[in-house]
Amino acid sequence: MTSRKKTPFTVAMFVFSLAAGCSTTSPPKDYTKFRELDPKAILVVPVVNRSVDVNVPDYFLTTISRPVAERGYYVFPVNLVKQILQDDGLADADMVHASNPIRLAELFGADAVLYISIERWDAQYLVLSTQITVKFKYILKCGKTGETIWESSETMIYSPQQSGGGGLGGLVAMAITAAVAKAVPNYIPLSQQANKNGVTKPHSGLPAGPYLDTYGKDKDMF
Amino acid sequence: MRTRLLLLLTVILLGLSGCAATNKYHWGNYEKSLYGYYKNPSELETLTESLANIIAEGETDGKVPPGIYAEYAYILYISGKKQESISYFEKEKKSWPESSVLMEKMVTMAKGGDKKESSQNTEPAPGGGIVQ
Repeated sequence: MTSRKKTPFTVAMFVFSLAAGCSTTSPPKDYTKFRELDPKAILVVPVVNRSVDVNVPDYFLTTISRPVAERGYYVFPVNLVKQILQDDGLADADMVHASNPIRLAELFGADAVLYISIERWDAQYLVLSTQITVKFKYILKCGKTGETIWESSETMIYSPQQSGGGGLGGLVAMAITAAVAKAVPNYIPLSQQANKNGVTKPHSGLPAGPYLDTYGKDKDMF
Repeated sequence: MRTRLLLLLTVILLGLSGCAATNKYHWGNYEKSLYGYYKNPSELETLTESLANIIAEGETDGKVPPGIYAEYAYILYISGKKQESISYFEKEKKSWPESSVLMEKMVTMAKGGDKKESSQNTEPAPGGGIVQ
């Protein structure tokens, strides 16, 4: 129990170093237009894929609602939106991205339309781990004027934790599992992290939306 | 001592990952179940349960995320439960006025849609021509 005494300080130091790590900034963005048009309800349309992995768009679409909603916005139900677009002949994400944002926003009653594209998704199989480089881009267009009010592009390198001991034994075990069960790697955590970074990072993410207490009060950060 | 410290740090690290980890809403298994459904449409049941759980849990303290009532309503709709689906589309509209335009269209569609209780594949377009 005596060992406890020391922990708060160490922990505090650690927390500070972490917090500092979070706020490494890219050049500040201009949020003038965003603030002026002040979107509250965001329509996320299906994700465009420029990588070779066909699963990637679904990973990004299923993990985008949480971070945007948690930023204080209304996010239209992504699956319902996807189905509606599909059933109306807009199954192809490229086609949706090329269509008129004003018209789209009007049909759904949205303030802004969020377009996501996966520019890169390269898996590199190293000896003991897999490293994935992801590059993704967000463009938010105003539903009234059609102009871009926010955009962000990020590159992330990710090495999934390989449970099950690791080492060569682990690798062999994994290879066997993969061969037997055709195990598909789980990239939900990766896409969750990517979307969260893209949407919440100070100076590059989305400012707090109307459902957050900090709405309109975070101009020093966005 | 080291173990204890390490444990504490791990807990804090988990809590902090991504800078701000406090969740405004209950999300349950939302991502996993929706992704599972995309990969394998026969997992509709799992998605339905997952959405129902999010609603049940979220309603206890007003933390149902935006869009969830509507996602659930749509799943009910394609499962042939039209009446139930209407009430959930209306719940979405009531909870999130921003969704009014879309929810009114969905309610109209669910009310006027094909009377026969059919499976997902033979349903008329859920959008009912919304994007035309």
